[in-house]
Amino acid sequence: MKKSRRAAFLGIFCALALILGYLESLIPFNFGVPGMKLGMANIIIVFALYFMKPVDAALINLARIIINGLLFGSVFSIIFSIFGALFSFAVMWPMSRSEKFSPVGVSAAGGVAHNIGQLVVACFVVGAVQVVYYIPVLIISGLVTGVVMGIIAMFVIKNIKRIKFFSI
Amino acid sequence: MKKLDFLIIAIALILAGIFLLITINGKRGESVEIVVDGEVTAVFTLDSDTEYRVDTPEGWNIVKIHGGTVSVIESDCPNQICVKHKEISKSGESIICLPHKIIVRITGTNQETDALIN
Repeated sequence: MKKSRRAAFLGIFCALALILGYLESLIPFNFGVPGMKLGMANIIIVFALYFMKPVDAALINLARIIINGLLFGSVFSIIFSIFGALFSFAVMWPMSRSEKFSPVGVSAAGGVAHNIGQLVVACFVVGAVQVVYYIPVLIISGLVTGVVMGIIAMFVIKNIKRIKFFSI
Repeated sequence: MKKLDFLIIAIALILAGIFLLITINGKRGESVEIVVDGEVTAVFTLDSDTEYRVDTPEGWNIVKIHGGTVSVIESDCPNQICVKHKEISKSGESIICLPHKIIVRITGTNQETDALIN
């Protein structure tokens, strides 16, 4: 892929992920449990894993987190997001390469891994294993949102494949 | 979807179930501990009726104990997650304010000390 083409695609998908992140902040989704969120930006990351090089997907993810944190969050939220993203990316990357999983499984595992990653950071920040009580509810919420976002990603991937222009 | 997707879902559900069994024993708690940066700074009984202000270098939280439930009613933290958190009453439950490194947790063992502040 040409350099300019790559830069353009990275920019487009980073912007898309940011918009989804913003859209998500407008949807009230809070059941009194910290760390619970829809993770709509993960649609873009799953998509990028299937259509681009892993390094590009990681770059989009990193840029999205930093810009999103600077716009709507804090340094604190950036650190949390980065650890969640590290965990989920570490799981989703090899899974998306193997042919044994569909985007739904990849996204579901990513959602769970993301929440566990954030919980591990939380554990270090407060210096207590007390956060362990959040594990069940965060696993379930990560799983449910991961599956839903994975289904959306699966449809997007299926349909984008039909567009000839999109031959990265 | 493929077969292995369901395996992922099953593993996650089993993991959640295991942790649920380990962590929640469903018993009504007996005392409330306020932990700041890993150290217990105050202990109350769950039946006390009080509001307690926790001051930390990072900021403050006001913890309310009333009618056997505990909640954080005010805080100057940026995300307000602790304030939005549902009330807790069972042993093992906790409210955590990450920006201030505060944990409000309920323990099952009865502490002799009532409202002891170290």
